[in-house]
Amino acid sequence: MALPNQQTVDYPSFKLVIVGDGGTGKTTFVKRHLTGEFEKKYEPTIGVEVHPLDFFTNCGKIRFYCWDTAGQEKFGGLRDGYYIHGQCAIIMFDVTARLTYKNVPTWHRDLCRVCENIPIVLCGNKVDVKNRQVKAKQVTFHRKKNLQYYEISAKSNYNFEKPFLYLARKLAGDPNLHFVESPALAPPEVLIDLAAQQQHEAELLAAASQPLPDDDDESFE
Amino acid sequence: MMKGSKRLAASEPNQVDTNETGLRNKRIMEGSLFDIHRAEPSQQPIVAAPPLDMKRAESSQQHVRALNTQFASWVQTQLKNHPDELWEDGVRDYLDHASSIMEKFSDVVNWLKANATKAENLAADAGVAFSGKKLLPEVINKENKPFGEKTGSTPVSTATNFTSSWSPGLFSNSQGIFGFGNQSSAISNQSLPPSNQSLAPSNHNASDDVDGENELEQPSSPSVKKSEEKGVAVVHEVKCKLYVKSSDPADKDVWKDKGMGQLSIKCKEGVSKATKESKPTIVVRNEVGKILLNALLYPGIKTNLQKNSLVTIFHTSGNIDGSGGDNDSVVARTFLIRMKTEDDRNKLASTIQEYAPVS
Repeated sequence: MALPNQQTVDYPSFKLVIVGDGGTGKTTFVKRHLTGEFEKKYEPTIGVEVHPLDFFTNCGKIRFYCWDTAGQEKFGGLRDGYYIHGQCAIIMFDVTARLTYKNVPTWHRDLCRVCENIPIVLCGNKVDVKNRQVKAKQVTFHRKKNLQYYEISAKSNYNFEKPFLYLARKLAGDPNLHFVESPALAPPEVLIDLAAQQQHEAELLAAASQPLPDDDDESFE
Repeated sequence: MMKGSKRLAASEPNQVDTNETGLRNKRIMEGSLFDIHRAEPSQQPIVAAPPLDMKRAESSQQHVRALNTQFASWVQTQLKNHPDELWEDGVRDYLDHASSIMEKFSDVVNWLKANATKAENLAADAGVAFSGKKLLPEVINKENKPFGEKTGSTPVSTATNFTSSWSPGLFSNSQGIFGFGNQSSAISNQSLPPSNQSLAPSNHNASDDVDGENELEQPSSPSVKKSEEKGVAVVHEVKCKLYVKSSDPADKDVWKDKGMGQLSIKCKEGVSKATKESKPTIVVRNEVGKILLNALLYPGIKTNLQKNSLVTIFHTSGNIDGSGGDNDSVVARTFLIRMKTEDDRNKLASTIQEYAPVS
């Protein structure tokens, strides 16, 4: 389900609703997939933001329109109005904040009132953080409600593709569906003249004077 | 029963509920079944056996319990998600782990074997029902038959295309199979240790795992199937984190995070290296196969080395990653490629210089 101003595509697309308490990492998770960046600063989402996310699978290309909803009550906007015509969902909580897990049943209830019988993934985000508050064996809600559960980290990329893979499999009705490498077109060829070379060298010198990006994540562990 | 005296994988003795038998066997039942100082039945000669280290026995029991708990939960998952597949990989994995437990706790196993008949006689004497279960774990008596024979099922040819979702790392993590130590994060991605490797750190207190403070993390498995291109040779591969220099001077963060990915340098096969015809290409893809960078190496390419990072300029199509699309303009962008070690960085830098076309 695309918004009126969004282009429709000639391959399967699905409306994915992402819900959960404020600050659990919904927007950061979407941004990580969209641009690759990890957003450190917290800016609460107002209402909803919709982003198209494309994946290449062995069954063809697939698009999720990610409806990244506001978790904070004061910025809720239409609230469950955003869930209408949702075809799949992610409920997110933060494993370092117990309250966010306690509120999962409420998010699930509200979601199921509007969207009956859709595939839902429960995600425990921020598993990279040392002082974890919600232990894996304390997470039991998904068993009662027949949801898929993944521990994820938008920061370290741990399991970051798993929710989409699960939902794609459910929506395609193919348990063997898997992601494939997106086709790489021939990269552009360029002629490097002396002027361009000098410009490159100047640019590299300028880059060398810039501070290196933070080395604080555990991506290589 | 005293702490640490339970037998490996044996059921609790069910005491017959009559006063008579209860009283008659009181002396025997009070002591541990493995207590070598207990009163022996008169008809059985006392055999001098090395005493059992109770801590080791308890530790072995916890290892077995942890393995069985893991396996049972895996079976539940398999039953739910893959009811029509054969789970031979998983069962083999279970048997491998069982064998390594047996190996590690061979002293306990040998003690149990030595005392098995004695204990069974005692139990029979005491009117204890063992509900048909063996005193020792099934694995001890396993025969060296092929898997299919042993279970009575027909062995399946390895060529059969049954896909198993069993992750070989189910029981593994960075700290050995059960990883009782404090695990700092959930991103261990190591494969199983060899079966002769210690099951747990030597300073480990087995009870750590029981209170649930430390959790077993499953490594993340890749969800992308790699495609092989014909006529193209991959000359270098490394895991990296990619950044692109912001073109907006107002940006607080100069380096824009593009995410983690697998970097490959590819060339045409059968063409001399360091030529334009070899089309040396650098490609970075993330975990879902999305292209983060796709560019050609060019004559006179310069690299700047800082810490474990390499800074260089690549020419990509208008949409940064170079995956093509509507925007056909070619832009020179400065990329920072961060790797795990300086050694990785140096290897990448030398590969770029080695395969870049000579002007």
